[in-house]
Amino acid sequence: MGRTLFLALGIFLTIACSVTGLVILPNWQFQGLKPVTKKDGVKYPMPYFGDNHKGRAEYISHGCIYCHSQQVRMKGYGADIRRGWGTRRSVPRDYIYDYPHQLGTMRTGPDLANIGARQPSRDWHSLHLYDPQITSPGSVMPRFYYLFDEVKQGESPRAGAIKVPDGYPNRGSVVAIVPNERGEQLIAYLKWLNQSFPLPEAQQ
Amino acid sequence: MNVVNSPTEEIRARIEADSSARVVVTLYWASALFWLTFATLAGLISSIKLHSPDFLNYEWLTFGRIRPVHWDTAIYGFGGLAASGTLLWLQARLCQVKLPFRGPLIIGGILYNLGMVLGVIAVLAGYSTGVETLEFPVWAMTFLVLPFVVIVIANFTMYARKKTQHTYVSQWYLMAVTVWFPVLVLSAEACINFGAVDGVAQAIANWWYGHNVVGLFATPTGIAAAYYLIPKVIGKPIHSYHLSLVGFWTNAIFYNWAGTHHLTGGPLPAWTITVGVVGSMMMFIPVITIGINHHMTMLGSFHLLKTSPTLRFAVMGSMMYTVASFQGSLEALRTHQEVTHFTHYTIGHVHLGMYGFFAPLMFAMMYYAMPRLMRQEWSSARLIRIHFWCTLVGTALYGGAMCFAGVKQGLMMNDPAIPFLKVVEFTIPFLQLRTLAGLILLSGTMAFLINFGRMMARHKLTFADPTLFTSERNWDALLEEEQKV
Amino acid sequence: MAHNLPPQLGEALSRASMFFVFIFIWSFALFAGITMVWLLAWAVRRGEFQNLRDASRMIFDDGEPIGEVTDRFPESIKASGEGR
Repeated sequence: MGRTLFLALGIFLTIACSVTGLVILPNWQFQGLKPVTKKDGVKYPMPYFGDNHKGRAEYISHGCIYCHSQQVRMKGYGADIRRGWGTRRSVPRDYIYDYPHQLGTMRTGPDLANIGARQPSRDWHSLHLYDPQITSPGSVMPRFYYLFDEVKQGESPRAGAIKVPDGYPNRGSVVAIVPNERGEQLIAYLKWLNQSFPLPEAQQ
Repeated sequence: MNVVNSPTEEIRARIEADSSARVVVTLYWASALFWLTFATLAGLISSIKLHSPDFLNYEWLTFGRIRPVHWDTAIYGFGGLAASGTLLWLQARLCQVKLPFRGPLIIGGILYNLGMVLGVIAVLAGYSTGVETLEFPVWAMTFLVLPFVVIVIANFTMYARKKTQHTYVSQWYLMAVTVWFPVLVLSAEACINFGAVDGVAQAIANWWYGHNVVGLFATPTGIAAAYYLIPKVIGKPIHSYHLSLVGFWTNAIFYNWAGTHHLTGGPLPAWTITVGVVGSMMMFIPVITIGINHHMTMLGSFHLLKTSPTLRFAVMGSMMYTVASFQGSLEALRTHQEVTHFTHYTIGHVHLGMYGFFAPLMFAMMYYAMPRLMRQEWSSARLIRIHFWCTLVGTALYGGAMCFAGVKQGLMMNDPAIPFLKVVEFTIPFLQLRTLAGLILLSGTMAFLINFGRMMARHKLTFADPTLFTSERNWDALLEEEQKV
Repeated sequence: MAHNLPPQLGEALSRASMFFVFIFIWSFALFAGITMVWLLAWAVRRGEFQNLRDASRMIFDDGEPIGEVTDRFPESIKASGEGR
């Protein structure tokens, strides 16, 4: 029995050390991180609220993370900044309200850490989510058509509808689209994603 | 301590262990094969979607949902159940005891499958937790953790009751799995899905878990299987027992720390990444020692690959372990990560590890153990061959296509002059090749499934054909034990 | 899970589970560390590491001794030929 215990404890110790080192210590290190107040009195980062909060749940539910990261690597390491995916590298403070985290490890599609700054337009996001081929021909992103109501030819126009461009080949009888509730939420979240505020620690 | 002196006692104990494990292990392995087929199908659908995004484009099957279902069913469904079956059978055999707690283990197996079904439905319906590898909601995950309580207890009970004087190296790994896995899952769930950590610390915890669930669960079981099967099949003790101990403890110490390289370049303090890189580099020690042991044992017995299905899969697995581990360690380097991080290279590596190393060793285990558990021969040698060649060719094609495409994809992404959509365009032919590889792997799985199903359907307690049992000369004793269990 | 809970409850749960993890890991690590050293000494004294050669041979028995190949393709013995 002594040998069993010896083996088990030794094995346990190895994992106990790493859980301490890699889970507990980093958490301590980041626990003190607070938002900073900008010159206009607004805090950065801000907790998610309302539609962007619900939109985040949509982002998670549709598994966007499996193709899109949300982290900008530092200058000189990869080409994230030169590609225009951000103006500075991402730092832990950018994520203090992220639960669960959506850092991502795959870039089948571009990084989204600053998508709100790069694409502030609701129309662009609507068309892109409805059919990525409209805005990004050749993309392998699926169409999220179920986040939209379609306005067909002959139907009465609706408030907030976005016109589908004439040159779009799969247009059929659809003349315009209106994001449904979930669509609006997801778009609100994507427009919210913005790490352009120059945090001091990101300048080093 | 009870020591077996008479040789017939040893044979008796081995047969008794096999018979006692029959129902439980068959249940675990049959469900593992079901989930393997399911995972391969889900993977194939995901793969097709990446070059033809309109394929099955419904909300429940959108890429972001079917892709995590693929990985979760592969690691928990196939990996978890195949490894548990392996663990129980191997431990019973090596301890020369009957498998205890058979009733609770069967209930556990059923619960586990129930948890898998619930988890898959939850993710497809959009209730994923959003944390990679821990997508299953806690209420589904509970069903996966509970059976492990019984498995862990059964494992330690067998070890405590063991009739042998020594501990075989495979047993070290099996014990390790049963200690690591519960701690791993409980810590990860407490920290991640119960909200103890968030933001970047959660990402670190996430990848600590994501990397370890492969390295501290799948890998040790695979190595344990290789350490048993290779010497056992060729009838030659392992090359160096001392080396195997070195390999075990260095693996135990260093693997834990390697996970953070999944976040290289991310918004983390440099020290966490450095720890991950150092951990990954140190992994060369166990990988080399384990490699030496497995390959040196095989030296001079390669002609047996022609005649032994078990050995084919086991050797493929152990060779891929060396290849995939070297690749993995190098992958952790910062300069390497600058290019290949965020690309299909990582996906290629995972498949070389899971389908090149882990899965073949589990197949080897099943090919060796099932005839002994069921007392019946595999019905078709051709199906075994089809399975083997599909596994080998499919994995090679998959790994080759993805790793090459990944490097080029990374280099292109790091050149801001190339528009992003050009990078996407470049990868598409390779993604199509991957679909082909997936089809090949699926055909192999189907061949195995048919063979496995035939064995289960014709289950009789007779020796249909003594081909596999030429060594078990003690027929009378065998039959007698058979009736007692 | 906790992101669906009201913030105060989520935070309390978060703190409680962190506390649990902290206490659990450290106390066990300390306990394990001390016991490890003691057991290592005990095991060495008892000669646990002396007979490794036998340990590597424990997977063989008289029914399946060293030198005996124990696995073949189903038909390769019947035809007493080689597999492909």
